[in-house]
Amino acid sequence: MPAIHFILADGTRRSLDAQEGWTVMEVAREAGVPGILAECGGGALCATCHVHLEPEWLPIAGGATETEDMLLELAPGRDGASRLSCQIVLTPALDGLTLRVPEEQAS
Amino acid sequence: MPLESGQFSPQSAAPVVIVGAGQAGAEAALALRQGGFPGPVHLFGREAVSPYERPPLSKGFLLGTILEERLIFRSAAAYEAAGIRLVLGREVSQLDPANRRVVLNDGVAVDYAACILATGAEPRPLPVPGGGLPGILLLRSLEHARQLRAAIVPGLPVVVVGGGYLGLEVAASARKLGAEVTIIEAQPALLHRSASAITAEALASRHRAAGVRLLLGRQVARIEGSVRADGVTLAHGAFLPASLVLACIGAKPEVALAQAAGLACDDGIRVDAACRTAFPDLYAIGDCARQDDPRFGRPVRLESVQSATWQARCAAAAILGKALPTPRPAYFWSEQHDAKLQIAGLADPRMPCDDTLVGDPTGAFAVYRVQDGVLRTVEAVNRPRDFVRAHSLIGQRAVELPAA
Repeated sequence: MPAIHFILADGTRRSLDAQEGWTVMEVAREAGVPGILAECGGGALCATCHVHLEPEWLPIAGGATETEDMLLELAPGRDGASRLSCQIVLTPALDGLTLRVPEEQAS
Repeated sequence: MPLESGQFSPQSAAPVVIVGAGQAGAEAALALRQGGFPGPVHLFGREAVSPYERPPLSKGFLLGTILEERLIFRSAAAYEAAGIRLVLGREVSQLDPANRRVVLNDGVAVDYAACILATGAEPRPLPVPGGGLPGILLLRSLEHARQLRAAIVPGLPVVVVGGGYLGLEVAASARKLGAEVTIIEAQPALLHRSASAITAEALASRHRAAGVRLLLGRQVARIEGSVRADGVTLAHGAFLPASLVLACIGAKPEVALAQAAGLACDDGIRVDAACRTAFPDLYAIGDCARQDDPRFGRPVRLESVQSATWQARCAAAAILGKALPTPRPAYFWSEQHDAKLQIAGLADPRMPCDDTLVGDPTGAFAVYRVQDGVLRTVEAVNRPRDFVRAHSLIGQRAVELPAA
């Protein structure tokens, strides 16, 4: 079971045990992590599950796909480490994945 | 102790009561907590299952690609951890706004500090003889979707009544599962008033290419069957055999509770920009609410996830006495066959649109819809770039369109 660490907008950390095969968005939503709205339910249709990967995780989790990259234009504060959390499927390699939830999404 | 509207005193033991545990209700509960609401929050759901996501019910869930457990937003433990009391399988049967009280169907009364009605909408039954026969299915709830999934059998005829988004999505799923699918639509085109003619026709072509039979401009006269529905007779006399009939002719807002309490209801519970009803500390959100809409200068009821979650956050902000969240352009989506449709913005269905097609309707395309010189909405099929770009263009005049 991979562990995921969310750094919330207020700076607090929230660590969750995740199920392999689930997306980061689903794990966050299931546990009620604030700031992950995920309005479209994970279809890469909106950009309300935006997260920033901590830099060391970018090469492991990979960057945004082409469609994801377009949608991220809708996400305030996007940067090179931005991903849609609904597009990150959890594998054993992502055990310890650490990401930040953007402040703009929390309000 | 009664509270002033928009204020909450932590000393008060009275909860915020949310009636209806769909996406709007669940989001409101969480938004209250995330906004720092210190008091109790009670979330009452009629169904026995924790709040879940409805859009996949007509798509991934029917196809078996999305399992039931993945539809549930969050675990019971997560509600508990957030201090939200989730009460399932019980109905609020009475609302007494003057005394700030709801009564459950087992007679238990709960006094509230504020109440949010998130009662949703109910699918309309077929208003024809035989319209109530067993074997006619509806789709709104997870239970409906389970029944529907069990009833779709490869090779057997499925008749979908209604060529709106829901009917089209189910038709595409049922076809993919190998059923022989017919869609009957009373209007001469699909998606009447809810999409451009260009998009409607492009989707119709995809359905035909996938082997779905479209009967447009045809009325259902009655549903046939002695014990259960086994066919549909059309107004001009043709008979279509059916192993299953699905009624997808729209939904009506669930307003009985509100109406009995004396609230003004006219295709939905009337609310202002903050989702307030005419009674203090009483709000309505989601599919059951008809909200003042500055875009059109009249109240509008939308059945959309984005609208439901936005209204949930508005009601929570109003209860917390905080500024309302910033409105963003409306958006909608649908998936049928190979078409991933994304719509940004909302056109006024009562006014004509100037539509401009960009791209190839048989492949990827977008339709830019202008009313009174203003870009109101963009429909993008397999062109997410246009959908994304639309968010900053909606509401503008003289928008420069992409070359192709």
